[in-house]
Amino acid sequence: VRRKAGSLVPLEMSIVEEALELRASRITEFHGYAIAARLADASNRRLLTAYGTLYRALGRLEQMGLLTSRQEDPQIAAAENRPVRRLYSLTEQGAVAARAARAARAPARRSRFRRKGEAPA
Amino acid sequence: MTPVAVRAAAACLRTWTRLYTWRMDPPLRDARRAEIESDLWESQADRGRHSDLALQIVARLFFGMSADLRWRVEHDAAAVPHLRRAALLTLGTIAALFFVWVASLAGHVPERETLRLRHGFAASVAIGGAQRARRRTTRSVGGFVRTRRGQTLEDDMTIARRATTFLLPVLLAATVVAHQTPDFSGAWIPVDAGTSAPAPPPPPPPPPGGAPPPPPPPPPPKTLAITVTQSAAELKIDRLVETGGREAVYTFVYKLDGSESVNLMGPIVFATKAAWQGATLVLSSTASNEGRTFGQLKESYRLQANELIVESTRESPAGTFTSRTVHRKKG
Repeated sequence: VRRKAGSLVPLEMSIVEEALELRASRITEFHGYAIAARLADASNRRLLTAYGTLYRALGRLEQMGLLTSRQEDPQIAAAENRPVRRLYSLTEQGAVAARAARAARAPARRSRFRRKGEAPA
Repeated sequence: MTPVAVRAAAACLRTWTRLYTWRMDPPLRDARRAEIESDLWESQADRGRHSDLALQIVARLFFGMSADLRWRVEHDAAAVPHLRRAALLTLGTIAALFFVWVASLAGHVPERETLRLRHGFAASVAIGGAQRARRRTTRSVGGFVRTRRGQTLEDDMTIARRATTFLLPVLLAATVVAHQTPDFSGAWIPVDAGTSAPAPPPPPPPPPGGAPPPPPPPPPPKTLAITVTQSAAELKIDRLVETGGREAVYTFVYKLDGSESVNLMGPIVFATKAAWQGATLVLSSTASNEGRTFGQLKESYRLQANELIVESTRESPAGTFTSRTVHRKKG
């Protein structure tokens, strides 16, 4: 997908929207696999987002200041006998972008429903 | 215990990650590798979600390759020449292998020549690709540095990805088909021997006052059964024949790498070269006796509806004789 400067591609919009939902559930940090699983559930797909696509998108969002990331405390990972996670969290700027993305999608959904002659859910 | 398929898929993912993060800044490289490792661990721990984890890993790997390469380019402008060259080399090699496999499949090239072609052609295309890559890189790196966006390279990588996506399954299919040489192993009984053999050509009229024409060669001994033992390197045929009212077994061993095999049948020496022409094995022999060549023999072996069809053409000073024998498997 070709991007315009400063705009988000659909995957990036979905990531910030999911991150916003997680924050509403008081989950402020998430790792890459968790967001990939949520994205697959949200779109009812079995295949998770490809590694390259997912982590490139997360990196871009971080560069744009919509997400921040940190490496988890290695002692926690060692205690749970697993690799260290990279934990992402939504910034305020990211939350604004997520709300904007959601608002931008809503009219599109409504117009689709109107064309089909159905009422929005 | 982790299934073998999952371990193999994980190994592919780790190898690819090492490859595209090769020679990157250590902090960036280690962060990406750790992130992939963590994702892999989480997907294995989340067993309830994946019934086909190996497939999931491979699919996520495959569909993300283009993004991985673009991520690398974005982070490392110095990697541009390497990536462009790598993409062109990959495409060139795939195209070369595809060409040679199709050629060998069509049976136009003897096996040994095919091997030479396979190596020589792939090498020449790879070298040509490298030269072309260097030229194109020199031309386009200026534009890349000016725009600092990698748009040109991204376009190239998209073309490379699409072409690879198209060519790879074709290459794999061609490879599988090309390797499917039939197995003639087993004990075979001739059931339809010589019925289709045409009559030998009439001898030319004797010249007035000249010497009489040479007599036709004696008919080959009647084959009662053949036992074939086949491996990747050679084909062994134990031929049970009846000659002069007695039964005898002659063993012929043919090398399948295109080199010459020498077999004896009494005083007759057969020097034979074997070559696959698609699913047909062709044995081209020169027959000699005490150093004197007296005939050429060409036999083709193929399977058809569980029957072994052997067609042969004998050329001698007395003329050309053909035969076709259908064999059924014993028992």
